[in-house]
Amino acid sequence: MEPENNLDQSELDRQLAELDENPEAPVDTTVWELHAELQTLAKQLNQPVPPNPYEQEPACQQAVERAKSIVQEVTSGIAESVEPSAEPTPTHLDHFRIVRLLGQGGMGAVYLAEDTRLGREVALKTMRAELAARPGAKERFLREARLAAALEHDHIVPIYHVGEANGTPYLAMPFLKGQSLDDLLKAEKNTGCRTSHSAGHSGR
Amino acid sequence: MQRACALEPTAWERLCTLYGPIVYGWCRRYGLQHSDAADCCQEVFQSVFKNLGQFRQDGGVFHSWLGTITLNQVRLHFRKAKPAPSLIDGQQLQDWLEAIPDSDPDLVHSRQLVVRRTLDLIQGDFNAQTWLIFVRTTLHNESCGEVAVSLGLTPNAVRQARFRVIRRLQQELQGLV
Repeated sequence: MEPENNLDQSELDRQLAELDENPEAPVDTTVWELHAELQTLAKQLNQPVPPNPYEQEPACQQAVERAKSIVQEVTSGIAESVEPSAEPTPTHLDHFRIVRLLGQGGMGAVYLAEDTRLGREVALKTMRAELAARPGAKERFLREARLAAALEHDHIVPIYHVGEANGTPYLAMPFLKGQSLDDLLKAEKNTGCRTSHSAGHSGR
Repeated sequence: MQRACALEPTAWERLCTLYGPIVYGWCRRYGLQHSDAADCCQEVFQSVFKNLGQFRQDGGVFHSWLGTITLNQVRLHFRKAKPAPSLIDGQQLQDWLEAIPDSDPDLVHSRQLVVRRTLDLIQGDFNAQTWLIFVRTTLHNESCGEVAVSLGLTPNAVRQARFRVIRRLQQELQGLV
């Protein structure tokens, strides 16, 4: 039961307090039920709780730290343990026709593709299927994509579409024609027009 | 809980802080020695990590689910540590079987511990006065009227502050116990 979804939080507290003072107060049924639940919980808090006799053992703290590290091992492992490999280039992902591979890394690949519905070029960022099969990885990829899709800023590339085809999560972004950072740095080195220091970055 | 299911590192850490000592305590109660209990605890959390998404889909109470996972993992430990004796000696086999735990861990006490620990974890989210009101009215059983007078507030303001904390505690515990 979550009346919070419908009621403003402070209004909810106000109604709970009112009901606490006057059991006949006219409040929503959900507030009445929540009040009963909270009173039960409050009563439980009054009872003494014997401590966990094993909590002070040094092995207990070690066990907790080891449990915490599981998530770090998995998340860092996803990025580090997988070498970029020559995954076969798909021909289509849903309504996107793959034109060519633009780049590839440990996490996945970026393709130039054509949105066959809208007839425009897009960059398709995909996650490797074997990584996507790991627990939580696909959800994280899609969650980040949804977060990025919610942002609107001149300096952030917008997300056109988020999807999953044949177990491969992907997102579609505008295909920005330009050059790689390597090429840009080489070009600027040759002309001597701008370095990271002259641009105001210390690089540390 | 939902954030932990999405494998957000901070939510996972919180889940481990909350439940690590509980699982370790269960393992010790089942008779595992310190280092075996720590190993078993890690295996339990690995299993939780792998299956949390499915658990969320299936629904249920996390606390009980964790108790079942722990019991299964402890049984595995027992079997690995001491292989089954020959079937020829019936008494030995009987002793071996009896040494393997077969009942769920003590969920009542551990639930109380989780509630208390959750309370500690949310304390930092409230200002000192709100927390004081909660402690005095709920943990020390002082009336809202008394607390209101001593703090120069209206009884209604005291009640609202009290419910703010209890409601938050209830939200944190949803799906857990």
